[in-house]
Amino acid sequence: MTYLDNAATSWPKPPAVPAAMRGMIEHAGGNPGRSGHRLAMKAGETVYACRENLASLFGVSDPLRICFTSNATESLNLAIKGSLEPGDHVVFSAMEHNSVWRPLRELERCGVRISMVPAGANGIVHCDSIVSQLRRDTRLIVLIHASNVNGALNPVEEVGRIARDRNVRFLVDAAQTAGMVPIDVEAMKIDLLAFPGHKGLLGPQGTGGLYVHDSIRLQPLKHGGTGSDSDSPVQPEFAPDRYESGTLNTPGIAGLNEGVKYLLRHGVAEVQRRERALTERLLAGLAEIQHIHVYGPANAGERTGVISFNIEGRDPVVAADELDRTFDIACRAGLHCAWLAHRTQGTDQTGTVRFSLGALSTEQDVDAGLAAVRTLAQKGKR
Amino acid sequence: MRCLVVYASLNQVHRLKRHIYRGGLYVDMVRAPQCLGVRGCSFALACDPALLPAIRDASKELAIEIRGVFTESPDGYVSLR
Ligand SMILES: Cc1ncc(COP(=O)(O)O)c(C=O)c1O
Repeated sequence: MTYLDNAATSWPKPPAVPAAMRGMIEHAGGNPGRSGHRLAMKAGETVYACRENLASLFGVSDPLRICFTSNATESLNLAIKGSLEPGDHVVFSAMEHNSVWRPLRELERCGVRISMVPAGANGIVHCDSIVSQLRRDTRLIVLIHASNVNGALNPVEEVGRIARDRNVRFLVDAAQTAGMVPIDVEAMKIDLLAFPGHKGLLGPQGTGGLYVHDSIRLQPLKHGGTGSDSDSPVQPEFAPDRYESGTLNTPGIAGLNEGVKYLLRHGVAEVQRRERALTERLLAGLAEIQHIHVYGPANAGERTGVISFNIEGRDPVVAADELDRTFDIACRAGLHCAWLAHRTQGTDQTGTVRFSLGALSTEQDVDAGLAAVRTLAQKGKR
Repeated sequence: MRCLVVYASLNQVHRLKRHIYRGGLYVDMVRAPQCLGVRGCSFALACDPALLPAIRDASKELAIEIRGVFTESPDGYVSLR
């Protein structure tokens, strides 16, 4: 199988990931932060180690500001719903995923005011467009770091500076960049960083997290047991307990910890350099094939290895199905849970085929993808 | 005789333990006995009394609230503040 669907979830994982998950279940299967016996304390150690490793990956000085969730969607919901109240104003981009757009539309029904900033034809959002939408009552800016549709990378550092200068909270959706593009929350002035554990961080599905700046107190998404302040009827004030009610996905976090350790060992900058070279190879190969239309920035420096394209006259979903069954290639077609972004690039009616690279992708993967697309394109319309 | 320095959650205890460890000192982590009466389900750093100043300093530095400090004695726990 040639796996080109890393934007949905990364695969394969480094072997240490499943090994750690198995080890956690077999040898440290207690509930962290609840009981005091050795199995529970051992589980707690792994959970804390993962917080610490995530903190060093993202330039966070206090690991307790990393809160675990079950995916990026939960992180984004916590950050958005925990920040906004009726009457508040929020600015977001026309490239956002449904996990941002839908919570915002839901809050709009309850009196939150929303303003959408357009993106350029290549999917990149310009700072000026964001600035032009800011108002006195703007409480939050939400920006996707890189598009899950066409890989376009946004100027997060510049937007961070603008947000900090105006005292507006800045939430970054790093679903497509965490582990693939260097992120430093201090340098980029990011207040809230939502990330999945199961994509670029190489962990298992069912893991994710949210970094919360220490000046921020969110309303929790869930209320319940945290293993702390148990005699109190209300959620603890301190992070991460305030946001982590209920038993954590400890085996998943053990796996995620190994994914993050892999990245710390290899360096995210090196992962990005490798992926950029593969992206250039894929873009150059697609450009040589007739009847292919590629979307997003042409320059690999302005994008990630998420590449959307269409084969003239072919339905993208049917093409992806043929890529799977005939060529043993896994990719994703359709609207990628991001109708807004597809509308921005003019593919909301058709969708696209999406190839997405990951830390463990190889030149052979890229070449196999290109050879299959070449054959499909030559076969003519379907 | 050990000292117990009690905190609100295991997460805080982990952070302190790691911080103190980086300074070359080892402290243990335990569930805080319920009888200490410091707001249910707490965790504590357990250490030799000589390490108490280092723990207090670390707590101050990391801005993590100490909920109680106790020594173990044959008659039970004695509060140190
Ligand atoms: C940009 C973006 N945001 C959010 C998400 C949601 O991630 P998760 O599936 O971990 O909830 C995705 C998933 O593909 C995404 O690409």
